[in-house]
Amino acid sequence: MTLTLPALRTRRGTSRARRRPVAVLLSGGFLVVVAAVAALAPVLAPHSPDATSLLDSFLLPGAPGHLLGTDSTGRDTLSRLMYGARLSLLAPLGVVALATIAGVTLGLLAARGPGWLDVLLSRAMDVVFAFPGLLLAMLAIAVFGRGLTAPMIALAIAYTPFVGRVVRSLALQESARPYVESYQVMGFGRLAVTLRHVLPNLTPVIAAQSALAFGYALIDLATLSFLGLGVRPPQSDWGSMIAQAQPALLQGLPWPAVVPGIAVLLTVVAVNVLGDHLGNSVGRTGERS
Amino acid sequence: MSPSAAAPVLEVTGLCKRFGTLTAVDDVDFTLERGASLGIVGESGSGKTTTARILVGLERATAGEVRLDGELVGTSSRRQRVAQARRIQMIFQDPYQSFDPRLTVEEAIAEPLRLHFRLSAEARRRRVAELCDQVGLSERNARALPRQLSGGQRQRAAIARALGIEPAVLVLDEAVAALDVSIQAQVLTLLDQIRRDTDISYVFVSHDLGVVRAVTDTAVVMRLGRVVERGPTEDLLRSPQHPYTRLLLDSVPEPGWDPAAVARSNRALAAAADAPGDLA
Amino acid sequence: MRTVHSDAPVVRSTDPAPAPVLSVEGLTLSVRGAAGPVPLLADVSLTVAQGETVGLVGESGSGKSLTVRSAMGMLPSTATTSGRVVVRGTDVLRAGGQALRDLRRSAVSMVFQDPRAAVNPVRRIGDYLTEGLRAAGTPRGQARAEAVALLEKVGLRDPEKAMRQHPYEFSGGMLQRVVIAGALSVRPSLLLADEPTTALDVTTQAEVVALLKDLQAERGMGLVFVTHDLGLAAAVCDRVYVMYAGRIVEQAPSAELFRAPAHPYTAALLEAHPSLHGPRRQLRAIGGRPLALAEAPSGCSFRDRCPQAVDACTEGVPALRRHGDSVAACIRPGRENWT
Repeated sequence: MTLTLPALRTRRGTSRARRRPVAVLLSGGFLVVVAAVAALAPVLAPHSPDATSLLDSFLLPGAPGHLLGTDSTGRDTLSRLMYGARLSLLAPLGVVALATIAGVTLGLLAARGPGWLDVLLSRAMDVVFAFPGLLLAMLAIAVFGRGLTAPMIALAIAYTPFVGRVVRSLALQESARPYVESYQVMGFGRLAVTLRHVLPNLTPVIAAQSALAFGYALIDLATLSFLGLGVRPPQSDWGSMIAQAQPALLQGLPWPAVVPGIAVLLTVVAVNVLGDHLGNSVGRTGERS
Repeated sequence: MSPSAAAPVLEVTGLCKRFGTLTAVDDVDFTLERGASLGIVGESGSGKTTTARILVGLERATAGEVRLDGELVGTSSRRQRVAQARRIQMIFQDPYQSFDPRLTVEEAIAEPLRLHFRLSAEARRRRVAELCDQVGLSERNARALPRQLSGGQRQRAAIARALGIEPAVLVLDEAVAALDVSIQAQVLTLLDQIRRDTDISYVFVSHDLGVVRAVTDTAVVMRLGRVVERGPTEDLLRSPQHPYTRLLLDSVPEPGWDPAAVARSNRALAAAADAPGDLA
Repeated sequence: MRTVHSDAPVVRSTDPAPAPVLSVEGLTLSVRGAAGPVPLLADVSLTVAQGETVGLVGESGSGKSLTVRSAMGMLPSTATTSGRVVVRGTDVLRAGGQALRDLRRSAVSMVFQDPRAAVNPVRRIGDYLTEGLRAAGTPRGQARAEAVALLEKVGLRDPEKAMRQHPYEFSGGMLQRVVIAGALSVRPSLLLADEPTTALDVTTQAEVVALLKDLQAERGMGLVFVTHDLGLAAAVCDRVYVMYAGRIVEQAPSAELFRAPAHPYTAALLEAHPSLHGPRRQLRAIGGRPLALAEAPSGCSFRDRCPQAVDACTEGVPALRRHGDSVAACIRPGRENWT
């Protein structure tokens, strides 16, 4: 008989959970602040993001009235960062929401549906997965013109297998557990078992995977904007801020580009830390004996 | 067809199951009277578990019939499967694995009640409490998650969940094999008592002859997909006719046991079985 | 009635035993938990002589697996221990990494419950068997020859072919033979078998047990046989230790254990086990569930479940008392003293 120490296992679990929050709380707190700032940008921003003033161009961070400095046309970097956060966060959120809904649906269909459907969906997802999201987004822009809608849908399609493949493989694993069979014996239909039991047991992993996808989508969208393919002026996001600051960067004036760059970096790191935490917590909630 | 008291509650004839070239179950017949308990004894590869899975609809037979209360089962319409579930239920070997880890025991027991009966929330709650009481689970156990319970308590919960559906037949697949000896005796005693209190019938699948003796009236011994011997359990164990049954009996360790002799007769039997071209 | 102090070596049996290959003396073990140390073993003492088969029987949480693992120096990472675990003169609890490795390469080896988990599934059987020998410095060709000889010894029909095969090509029983061959490759004087037949079919169990007994007789190893099955222990072992909640509660010659259990727990286990002999009777279940040491009540750990318990059972852990050829941790050992 194997040595089982249920008491110890839970204790170890809690002590790990107690230790982790330092990074997790920081990340969560950071994202909450970023989201709040984005929502309240009109109230919080010290200047209009579009107010130019050639006299104040290229102020360094810490300049009076311009905490994070100004860009080549004297626009306040902090204010632009606050307004830019709105699109920078909302657009990837939209991408991830679409990709998650599609990925979960396709993943569950593949895992729990008939065999031929699994083959079909799995191959399709493999093909899409092999296709770089950014390229797909650029193609969409080439076909449908500039703007956010086309690249967002393209990225959502590109990220669908990112969620869908994980959902499929975990749902297959879950279906192999005897409790799924026991529901079948009790007379429950396949769909009911899938939605009421299989899916809820996968939610932590799905959340983790979506968080990771959010980070990637944020970077992809920023890249598109940086390439001048994403948001159109006068709208701006962090990617377009970096793009517009590029000439100055080459002249040795890095700050207008560095500040939004750091914003992208911190946000992606924070999201990844949270996603990692969600993924790891599966070990506790799903606790496979 | 109305179930009459005299007709067998479960009738299996000519049951076959092939997986590709492998014949897992080969022409198996047996009947189970209402309120009786039948043992299916065998080792891994004997086809006992596949047989059990066919009975509850987890596998589809390649050939043969399963009749519950005289009615043929095995068709796949949704209504038929729900009707089959009302008549026959199963207890799995690993009770922990047979629960959704997120649901408390009472939630898990309530679920099939919601599917099979039209009860008010209050009536359902009372029924769950009654079922927990019947299998000896406390109110605290009922509110716990499966992982917070011991193996024995989980198996009680699984029994309560199955009993809630009020099946005529309960299939128990190695249902006590994973339990500690002291707990195993508790669960066997409980099963015995339930059978005396209700007119439920058991199909008890096990490799453990002692356990089969404790809870069954008749038994079939399966080997390589076939029934090699059948009869009242007590007769089967006292005067086994088939060499394989004898081997199984001799394999049970006790003081003065001679494992080498058992190993020899096992090899002899295997050689004899290989000869006529049996599928292993 | 003679009282044996529980911290003394539990039994010096009547026949003068040769120096033990394993002697566990007062082993107490706890691991770190969030709310302080969690005790798992208390004052466990046992000896295994050369050529002797000793059974360690108990239910979940009894500490039987942990006890045999301690003889390999395989302890939980946060374990604190007291007492001694001596294998061929080396105190395993105080031995360094090198001494432990030497011991495992030359004196003691272990067979686990699930052979599938014990063998790397993607490597060939030949690699599995020669790995240890090669690590111990045996030249390649000789290691291979030895491995083939071992496979033949454990009864594989075509050892040369088996060397090239992968674990999935074997049945559980055959794979357990391979694992036993691997355990033998270090020429151990002590073989620890932790539920070696639990995952196997009953007829296969007989074969593996017969093999283990044969090999033991031939090589004169000490064999520790851990099992939850009292019948199996009685059939295989010379002496049996029964464990409950991290303590040894009874120690007896196998036949004696079956005929006249001295501890109420042993007696209850025997009655709970569905028997094949005698008149068919109602099983007598033990109430409650087996406890781990950390959950056990004060005094006698079994008293909550014991039909014989009296008030005195709460007063301290009962010392081991001699009863006939047995020793039991009970204030009233032996059926004749029970109600």
